[in-house]
Amino acid sequence: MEKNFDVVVGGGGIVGASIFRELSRYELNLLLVEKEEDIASFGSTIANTGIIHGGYDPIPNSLKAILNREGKKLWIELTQKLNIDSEFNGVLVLAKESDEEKILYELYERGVKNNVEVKILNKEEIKKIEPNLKETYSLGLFSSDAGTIDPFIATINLVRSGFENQGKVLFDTEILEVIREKERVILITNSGEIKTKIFVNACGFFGKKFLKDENLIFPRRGEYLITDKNLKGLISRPIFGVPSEKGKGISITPTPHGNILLGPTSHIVENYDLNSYIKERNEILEKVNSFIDFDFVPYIIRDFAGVRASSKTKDFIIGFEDTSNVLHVQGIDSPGLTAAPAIGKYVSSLIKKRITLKEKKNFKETLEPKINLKKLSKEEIDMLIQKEPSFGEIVCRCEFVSKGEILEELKTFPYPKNIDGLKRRLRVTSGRCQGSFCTIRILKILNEELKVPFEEIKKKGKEGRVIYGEIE
Amino acid sequence: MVKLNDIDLTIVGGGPAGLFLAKEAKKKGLKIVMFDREERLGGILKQCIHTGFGVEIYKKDLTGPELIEELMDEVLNLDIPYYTKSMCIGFEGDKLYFYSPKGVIEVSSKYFVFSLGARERARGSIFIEGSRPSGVFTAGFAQYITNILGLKIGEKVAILGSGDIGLIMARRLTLEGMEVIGIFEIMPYYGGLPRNIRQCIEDFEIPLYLSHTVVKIEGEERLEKIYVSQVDENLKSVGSIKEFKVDTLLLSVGLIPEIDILRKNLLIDNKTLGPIVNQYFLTNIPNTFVIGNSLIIFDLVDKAMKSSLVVLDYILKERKKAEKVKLIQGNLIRNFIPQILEKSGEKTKIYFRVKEPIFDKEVILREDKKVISNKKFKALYPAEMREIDIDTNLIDRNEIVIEVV
Amino acid sequence: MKEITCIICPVGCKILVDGNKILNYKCKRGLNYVKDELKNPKRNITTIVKAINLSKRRVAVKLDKEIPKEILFDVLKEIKKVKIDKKVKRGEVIKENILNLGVNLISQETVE
Repeated sequence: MEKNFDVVVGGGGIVGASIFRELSRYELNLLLVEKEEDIASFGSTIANTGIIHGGYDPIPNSLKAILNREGKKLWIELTQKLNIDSEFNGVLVLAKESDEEKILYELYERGVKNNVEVKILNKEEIKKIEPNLKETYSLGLFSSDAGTIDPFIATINLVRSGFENQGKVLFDTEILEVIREKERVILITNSGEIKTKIFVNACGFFGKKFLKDENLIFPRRGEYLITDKNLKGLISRPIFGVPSEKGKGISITPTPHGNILLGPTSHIVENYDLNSYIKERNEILEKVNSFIDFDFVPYIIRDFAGVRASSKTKDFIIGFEDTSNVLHVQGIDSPGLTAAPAIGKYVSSLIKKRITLKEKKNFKETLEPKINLKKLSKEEIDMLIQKEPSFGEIVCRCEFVSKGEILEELKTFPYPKNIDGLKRRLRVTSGRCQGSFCTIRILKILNEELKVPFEEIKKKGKEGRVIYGEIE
Repeated sequence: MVKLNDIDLTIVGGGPAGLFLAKEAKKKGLKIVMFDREERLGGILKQCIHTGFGVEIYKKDLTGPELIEELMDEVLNLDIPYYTKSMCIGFEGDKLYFYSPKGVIEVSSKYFVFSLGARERARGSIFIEGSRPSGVFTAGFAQYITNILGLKIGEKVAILGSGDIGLIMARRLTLEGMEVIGIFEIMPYYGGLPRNIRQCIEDFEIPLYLSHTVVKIEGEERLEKIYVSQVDENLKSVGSIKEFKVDTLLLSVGLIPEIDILRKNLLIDNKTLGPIVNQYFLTNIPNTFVIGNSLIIFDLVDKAMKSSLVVLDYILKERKKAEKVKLIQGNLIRNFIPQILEKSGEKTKIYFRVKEPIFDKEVILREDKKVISNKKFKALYPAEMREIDIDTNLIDRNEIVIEVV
Repeated sequence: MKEITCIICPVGCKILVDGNKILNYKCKRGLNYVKDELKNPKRNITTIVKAINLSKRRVAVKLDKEIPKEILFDVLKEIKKVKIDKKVKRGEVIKENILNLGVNLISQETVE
């Protein structure tokens, strides 16, 4: 492995992936470094509501306000170019009493100042677009060009695109120390030294230790519940209450795949705590039941939690250190996902001030779409199966994923490293049975087709095996 | 595209109920075709290598694979056409579609029967605090890994729930060299059949903790530890928390009828979680029946098989439009089928389960205060599905209550 | 009085034993089971053995007769020495007269 790069991006979450892909436009020796075995496998990116926010919430003229607005526009293009599942049906914020109405009007004002599309809806107008909600609201704020995306596929396909444009990626590589030298940075990692002209610190919460004042970043925990797809159609867009000092609050969000996400809670914590708690589950259910009179419990298939890195500055921290070539991208909490592509552009504009960036002539804007049975007609599927019968063999009954799609995915960079990696790419094991049907079939495919010994197949991470060995 | 036309009866799901109905229907001269999503017919019984199957129908105590081969021999002798590795994707108009390695299959049929079996409740539907490592599996998943693949699911195992699959897996894992540290049951009584408590648990001195549940899971990538608490009569945690170091937690916390493929159009009973049917197991979707565990979770496979014959009763007789009667849940009854009775003038059976163990009581069917049918029971356990007969000629009103008195 | 859960069939009758009287049994097999259970408890074993170069990784097997409960693990050890490397039919004897008990190991299924 070569050791000298022009730019090294640390962190394979949505932010690092966006920067990586953006920088792959230029003739650079570019590297993305991820401490885990896979990208989008840990951190805020995988515990994300997936909302592309309207941009009415951030304080005017803040980085959050600007990058939210620009990021939203970029996503509308990117989801097309990079085949990212998305739905742009708007976002609705509900206000109840007069106090809340006041906050809603403030939000509206902020939206106007932030130069984004916002509209006040009255009760009848809300009822028309969301007939299943409890009619306790009096007023709503509608942000029509907001939406939702699949944050896993977004991250994976951004990295895929960066890779196809000659960017390099290192997994299982944790940056332990950053040594600042004149016009270059040396990264000490668990697998040796990497030298680079510029280091972009998009390491999420784990990158705060490279800041001069790491106390600027504090962890905020959020827990989610997710339902099966049987509730598709209950609501058509993310529903929020008015925001508070704790953030945008708990929402009900239909994902582009037809599940409903409930959450997140928001609690400042001491430790990086990813556990689930009954208390928080109840907090979520109580809040969503204030929006809609519906018993979600029988439909919940999974709970999960994430920790996001919030900044005491209340804004993103993006910029070079005065005296070194370390560029920090820190404190990227909400609306981080929305802002990510704009962060990529902003970071490359900052880098341009330090080194020459020359655009590649042959930059590939789009990704070749992969075969997805859900997007094909019966006739197309039949023709496909005649050519390759493995597309007719359904492995995941909940999400309708075929063996053929799994085999294709296993051959495509960035390769899935474990069953959860396949899940984030193809949604296998993520349905209502939570893998009790398809995990067996996936184990068999990996063992029979790829000759991976059963005991080496991991569900999660590097140690999370499924099988302990042969029964005699 | 493969197109199958002029079929009398299409059976989706080739487990014991589907296979049994297929051979009986074929003997009656119906033109049938059968589909299954797996490589081999037989459903879940292929992995149930313990005995206890076929006692009623074959008068033999067979293992799962043995019963399936008995059935398969008959199916093959009768030349019943079947498609394996074929996943049903649902109706479009009056045609049913499947994906298979042979291509897309389109079926036109007079009648459709769905015998899709059940799925297991997973961790998400019960909620346990803590982390989300590998090593928390459903018992049926572990059964496949153990019995079909011959692989070790872990080394030190705890089981949550004392349903039959959990009890049977406790014995299987013990025999295959794994250590089962205990079975935890939230209810004050066990969920499985009494004989499984005897031969799976007591024989191997595996501790059974009644009124106990797992409250927390620990471990980052693979399970490392579970925390167990006693519960009170409201199923709330009380007393001290015990810790157990285990690498595997099996969940045997109930089955849910698998019928999602029809869900959009099907009326579902929130007690059985399967479809609402009449005494012929006919659903609200025209000419579409649901049988076996995808209708209601049966206790014995023989019952799931035998009960499906009502479908043939319906198909083979001229049916006049009959008045409909609703069956209503009364005292101590957990669930039942059918939920709707047609006043066909025939006798029929109601299958039911009780909410808690009950001794020396009577189960009745009544309209208002008039008892139409009654049956005495020495003992009724929640794990068991029991039957009571009813003569539809005796019904006057349009609602009947089933209850324990 | 002692209660023994009958394991002969899935009904699981609770049979009562009062001194040398056996009560509450519903069939002859149940009566015989309790008699045995008091004198010399017996069990069958259903398990799997390795298949080599066959269509499945394991073959499900059982004993054609029950064996005394206390030697269950000794018999299991003998069973686990068996490997199947050619087509086997349901009911076929795989290993005869295990530990000279007069009990045979038979296949539960046909595996090619």
